[in-house]
Amino acid sequence: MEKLRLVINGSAHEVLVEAHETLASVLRNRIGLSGTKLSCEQGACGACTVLLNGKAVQSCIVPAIHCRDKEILTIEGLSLQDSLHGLQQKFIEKGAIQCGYCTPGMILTAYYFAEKHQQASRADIKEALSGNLCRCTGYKKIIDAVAEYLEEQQEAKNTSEHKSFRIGSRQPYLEAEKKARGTALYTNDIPLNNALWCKILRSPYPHARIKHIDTREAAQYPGVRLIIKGEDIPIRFGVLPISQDETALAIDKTRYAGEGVVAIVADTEQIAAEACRLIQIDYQPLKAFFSIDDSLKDAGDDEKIHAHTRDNNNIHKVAKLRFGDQQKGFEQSKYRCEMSFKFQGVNHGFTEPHAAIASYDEDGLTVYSATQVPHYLHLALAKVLELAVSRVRVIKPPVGGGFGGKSDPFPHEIIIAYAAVKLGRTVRIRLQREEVFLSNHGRHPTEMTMKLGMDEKQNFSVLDADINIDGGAYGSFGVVTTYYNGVLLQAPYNINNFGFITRRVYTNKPQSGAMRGHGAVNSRFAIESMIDQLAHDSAIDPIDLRIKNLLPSNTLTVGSFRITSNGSRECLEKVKQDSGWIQKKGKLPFGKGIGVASGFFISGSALPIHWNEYPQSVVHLKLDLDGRVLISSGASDIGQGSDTMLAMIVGEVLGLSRKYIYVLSADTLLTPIDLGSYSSRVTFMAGNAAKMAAESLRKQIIDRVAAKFSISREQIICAGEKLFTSDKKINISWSEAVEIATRKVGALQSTGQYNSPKLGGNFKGAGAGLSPSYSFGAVIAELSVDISTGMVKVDAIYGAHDVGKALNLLAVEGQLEGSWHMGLGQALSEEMRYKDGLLLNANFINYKIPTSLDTPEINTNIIETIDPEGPFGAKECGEGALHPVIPAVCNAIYDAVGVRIKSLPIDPAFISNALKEKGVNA
Amino acid sequence: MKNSLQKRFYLIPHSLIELQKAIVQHAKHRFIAGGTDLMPNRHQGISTESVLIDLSAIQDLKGIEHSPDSISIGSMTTLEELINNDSIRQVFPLLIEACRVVGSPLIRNRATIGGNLLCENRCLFFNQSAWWRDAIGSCLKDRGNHCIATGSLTSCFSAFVSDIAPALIVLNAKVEIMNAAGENRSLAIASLYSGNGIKPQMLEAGDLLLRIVIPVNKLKNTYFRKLRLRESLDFTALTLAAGINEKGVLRLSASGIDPKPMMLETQYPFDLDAIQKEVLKQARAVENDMLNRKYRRQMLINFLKDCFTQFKI
Repeated sequence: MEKLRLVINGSAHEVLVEAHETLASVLRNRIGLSGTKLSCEQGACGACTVLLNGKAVQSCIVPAIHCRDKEILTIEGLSLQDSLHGLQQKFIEKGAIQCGYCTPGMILTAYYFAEKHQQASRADIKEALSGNLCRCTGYKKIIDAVAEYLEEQQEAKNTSEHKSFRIGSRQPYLEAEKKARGTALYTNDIPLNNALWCKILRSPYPHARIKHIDTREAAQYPGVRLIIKGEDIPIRFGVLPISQDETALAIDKTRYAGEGVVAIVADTEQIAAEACRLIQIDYQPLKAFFSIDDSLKDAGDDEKIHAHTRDNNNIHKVAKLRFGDQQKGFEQSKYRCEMSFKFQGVNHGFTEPHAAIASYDEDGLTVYSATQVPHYLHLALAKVLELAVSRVRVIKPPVGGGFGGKSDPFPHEIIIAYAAVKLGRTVRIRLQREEVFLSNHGRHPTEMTMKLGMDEKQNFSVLDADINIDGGAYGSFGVVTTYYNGVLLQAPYNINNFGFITRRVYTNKPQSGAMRGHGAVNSRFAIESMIDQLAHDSAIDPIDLRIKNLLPSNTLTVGSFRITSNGSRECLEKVKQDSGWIQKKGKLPFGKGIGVASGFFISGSALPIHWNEYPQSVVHLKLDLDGRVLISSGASDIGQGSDTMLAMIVGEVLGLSRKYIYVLSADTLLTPIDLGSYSSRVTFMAGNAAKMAAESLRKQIIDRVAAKFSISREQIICAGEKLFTSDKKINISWSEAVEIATRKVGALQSTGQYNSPKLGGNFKGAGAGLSPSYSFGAVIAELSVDISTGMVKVDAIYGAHDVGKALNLLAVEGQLEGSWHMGLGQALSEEMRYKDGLLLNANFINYKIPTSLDTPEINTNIIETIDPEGPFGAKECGEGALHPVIPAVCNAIYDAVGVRIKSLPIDPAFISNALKEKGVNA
Repeated sequence: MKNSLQKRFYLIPHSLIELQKAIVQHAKHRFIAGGTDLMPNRHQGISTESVLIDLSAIQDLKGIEHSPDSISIGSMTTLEELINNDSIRQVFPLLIEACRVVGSPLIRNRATIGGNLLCENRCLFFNQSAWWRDAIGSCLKDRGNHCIATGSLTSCFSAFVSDIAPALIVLNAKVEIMNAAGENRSLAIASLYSGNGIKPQMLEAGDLLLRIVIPVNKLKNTYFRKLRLRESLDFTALTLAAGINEKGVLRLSASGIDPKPMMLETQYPFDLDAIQKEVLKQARAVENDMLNRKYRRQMLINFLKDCFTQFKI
C-alpha cells in the first residue's frame, strides 16, 4: 500500500492505496464518493467520468497514484452547498435523467464542455458527449439540457418556470435531484460495514460434465469464508412456474460457457477472485448445440441439454395457433410475399451492472438487489433456500436501467442469500460487464419465414408465420416469448386468416429472455418489411396500405384480443405529416430514403405469471397529522419513472403538489405486492391501484370535513392544496382538512388494487398476449446509405405513439425516445456474437450501443386516445414504441437503394455487395 | 496468482535521468502514457507487469516546438492538445483529422500521440478477459500455440489500430527514441513496426519514444477516412490516409487491416492497378474484427478509389 494525497472537491484527502489501483476504485471504496459510477470499467462508456486538474477523464482507466496531489472534481463537488449547478438543474428540468446511472459522468462531461464553450451547436454538443453512453434517453433530452444551459448562460435568461404537479405536466422524477447530485445510492453504492464479497467462477465449456471440483487450495487461502458448489443449492428456479429449469450454480454439468460453477465468499472482492483461480475443475466436454437447426434435430446419441425436453432433441416449447382459413386466404391473394429473416440476439445494455447484497439476522433474510421484480425474487429466494416467505424481504434500491434484463430471479442473488444465511453475515456481489453479458436474458436470436397475402382490394387476406427462437441454456420468460412472437401479429391490422408456429430451442449459450418489446420485435420487423414490399409490388403508398388494413377501436381481433382505445391511424397520419412524407417518398435521390412502419404492444399482461387471485397491483396510502401522504407500492421504479407516476396520480386526485407526497416503493416487507416492472404493466395497473386508493382517501377526508361543516360531501372539491366549495362557504387549507379528518381517529389509511378484467377466448393459448389495453405506434425513418461502404446513417426519426394519456409528458417522451434509440441499436450495430459458444463481444467496445453521434434527431409525437380503463386514460409507452423503428429504418434502406434487409443487425457488407451486384458500386 | 503476490510499483519519474534510474532498478517494467490503451488491457489481464512507469511528469516529453522546416511534438502531448493547437491545425490538418477520430472525447483528453503510435495491436480473440482467453485455449499472442482466427501455428495477425500512424507516415514524420543507455536515434514511423502481431513494435526494453518530428512539407492534397460502425468510441476497422505533393509524389498509409501500417509511396504517372495490388498485398487482414475481412479489404479499395477521385487522379 502507498500513501496518496488527493485534493477532491476542494478537500485534501490522504489515503492508502494499492500501487495499481484505479482512481475510480479509490474514490468509491476508499473515500466513499459513490457518485462516480462503474459500468464498463474499460473506458468505453464514460459513467465514471470525473475532472482531473480540470479535464474530463474516465476514472476507471486512470491510475490513482498518477493523480498524486492533483485536483479532482467529482459529481458530489459540482453543487455548492444547497444550490445545484445550472447543468444539474437543467438535466433535472429537461428530463435528461431517467435511470440516472450515466448521469454523474454525463453531467461532468457536459460541465467540462460548457466551461470551454460559451455557445455551441447541437452537433458540437453531440460530439462532446459522444464518449458517454446513455441507454435510457436516446440523448435527446440530455442535448436539450446542455443546449439550454449554454443559451441561458449567454443571454442570462431563465426559462425555468413553476411546474405544476398536475396530470399531463412535465414532471422531473421525484428522485432526479439525488441522481443529479450523485447521492442516489444504487445497490453497489450502499455503504456497509464488515460485509463479505462473493465472486463466481464460471464454466469455460459450453456443454460439459463436471467430473470433479477440487476446492482444497482455495479453502486454505486466507480470507476465504465459504465455498459454494451447485449441489449446496439444489432447488431449481425460474421466473415462470412452468420453466423451473435453472439452479444457482451448475450441478453435474454446465450448459453454457459463463455459467457459474463455484462461488467463493471472502473478506474482499480481490481475495474471492484470487481464490477462484485456485479451484481445479475436471470437465468432460459434451457435444454442444449452438444453432437453432442443430437443436431442432434429433440429438442421436449425443446428450441433450436438458433431460426434461419431450423428445430426443432440444426443443423447449412449441406454440401454434390457427384462426380462419389460411388456405382460402392464400387462394384469395392477388399479391403474395414470402420472406425469410434472421436476427442476432441483442442485450439490454443497461448501464448499471447487476449488484446485490444479502444479510441474515433475527429478522430473517434481507436482500437488496438491482431488480425489476422484487416479488418474484422474494418467491424464488423462499423456494430455493427453503425459507418461509415471511422470513424473506427484498428491497429494490434505485436501479440503473433494466429493459427486461433484471426481470428474472438471478443466480447471483440466490448465491449470496444462501451465503448470508449460512454465515450469518452480510454478503455482497457486483457483476462485471462481461458477467452481465454472460447472464444475458436478452432478445432471442430468431429465424423465421413469413407469408403474407393481399387480395385485389389490397386487404390483407392471410398471414402465416413459421418462427424459431434460440432460447439459450435455460427457460427464463421463453414460453411467453414463444407465444408473443406469433400472437402479437394479430394487430394492428385486420387479418382474419392467421396462423403461426413458434419453436423455442435450448442451445448451449447464455439464456435469452425478455427484452424491451418482448417477443414481438423481430416478428414485427418481418411483417412490416413484407407490407412494405407488398405496397411496392402493388404500387400503393405504404402508409395508405397500412391505414386501409388497420383494425378499428373497440373491436376483437381474430384471436379475441379486446381492442379498446386505438390510435394507430392517428399515429400514421401524424408521422406522415411531421416527416413531409408526401414530398419525400420515392422522390429522394439515390442513396437517400424514407420508410415507415407501425407497431402494436400490450399494456400489461392480463394474466399473472403465478395463477392466484391476488390483485396484480396494490397501493396503500397513509395520511397523518403532518399532512404528507405516504404512498406505499411494490411497483419497481427502474428509471422509467413509476414512483413519480404514482405521486402524480395521488396528487391529482387529492389536489396536492409533490411536497405533500412521499413514495415508498419496492420493499416486500413495507409495501404491498406488485408484480414488478415488466410487460409495460406498471402505469396501467399500479396507476389504477393508486388512483383507487387516492379516491378512497379523498372520500374519507371529505366525509369528515362535510360532517364537521354540515354540508353535503358532493359540494367539496380537493384542488390546489385546499378543500373548498364553489361558493367558498368552505375554503380550508389541506393542513386544516387533515387536522379535521384525523380527529379522534389518527392517521387515515386507504388501499386500492388492480385486477384485470376477464378477457380472451376459450382455446389453448388464448391467454397469451391478453392485455386490458393495447398501445399503437408508427415511425418514419429518413436516412442516407453510403454507396461506397454500405454504411447507413439515420438522419431523422419521426415517431408517434398512442399512449392513451400522457400522465407525465417528460417521462412519456423519455420512454419513447429511449425506445426508438434502443431499436436503432438493434437495427444498426448491436449483436451478441459467439465463437464456439463463447461470447465474443461481452463489452461496450464491441457491443455497440449507439453513441450520441449515431443517434439522429428524434421528432417525438404523443397521441392521446384516453383509454377507457387506464388511469386517467393512460396506457403503455415504455416498450411498444421500439417495434416500428427497426422496420422503418430497413424500409427506408429499400427506398434509398432498393436493397431489402432480411437480417439484423444491418450488415454494411451485405448492402455493399448488393449494390455491387446491381452495378451501382464500382 | 504469482503476479498478485508480487510487489507492485507505480513510479512517476520527473526527468529523463530519474526515468533511467527507474529502468535500471526495474528491468521488467511497462511505460504508461495516457493509459487509455494500457489500462483497459490491464483490466482484462492482458498486461500484467508489476512495475508501471508513468511518463506524465517528464517535461522533456511535452510540448510542441517549431523550427523553419519541421514541427516537433513531445510524445506525451495529448490528442486534445493537438486538436486545439492552432499551428498544427494550419500546417498539418491531416494530423488533426486523425486525432479527432481516436476513441472518444474522454479518451482524447488522456491519450497521447506517443501512446497512440505504440498502442497494442488488437484482435477479437485476444482483447478478452483472462477467463475468456483460457476458455478459448489461449492464442499465440497470449500464451498459447495457435492463432484462434486462422489456426496458424506461427503467425499472429492482430491488427494495428492507430489512426494517427497512417497520417504521420503520409506526412513523412520521424520519431526520436532514447534507449536504456540514454542514446538517441531517429526512425521513420513505419520502421517502428515489425509486422509480427505477437510483438508488433521494433523496440527494445527501455526504449522511450521522445518526440515526433514532422517535416513541413507542402502537400497539395490530403485524404483521411476511417471505417467503423459507430461514429465514436470504435477502434478502426480500416483507416486510410493519403497525401500528394506538388511534385506528384503520392504517399498512402492504412491501419486496421494488418499487424503493421500499410504504406506505399509512388510517383506520377500512377499505375492504379499496381497500387491496388500492392495495397491489398499489404493488407493481411484476418477474421478478427466485428467487420469481416473481405469487406475491410474491399473497403480499402473503395477508399482508395474515393481518394483518387478526390485527388482527381
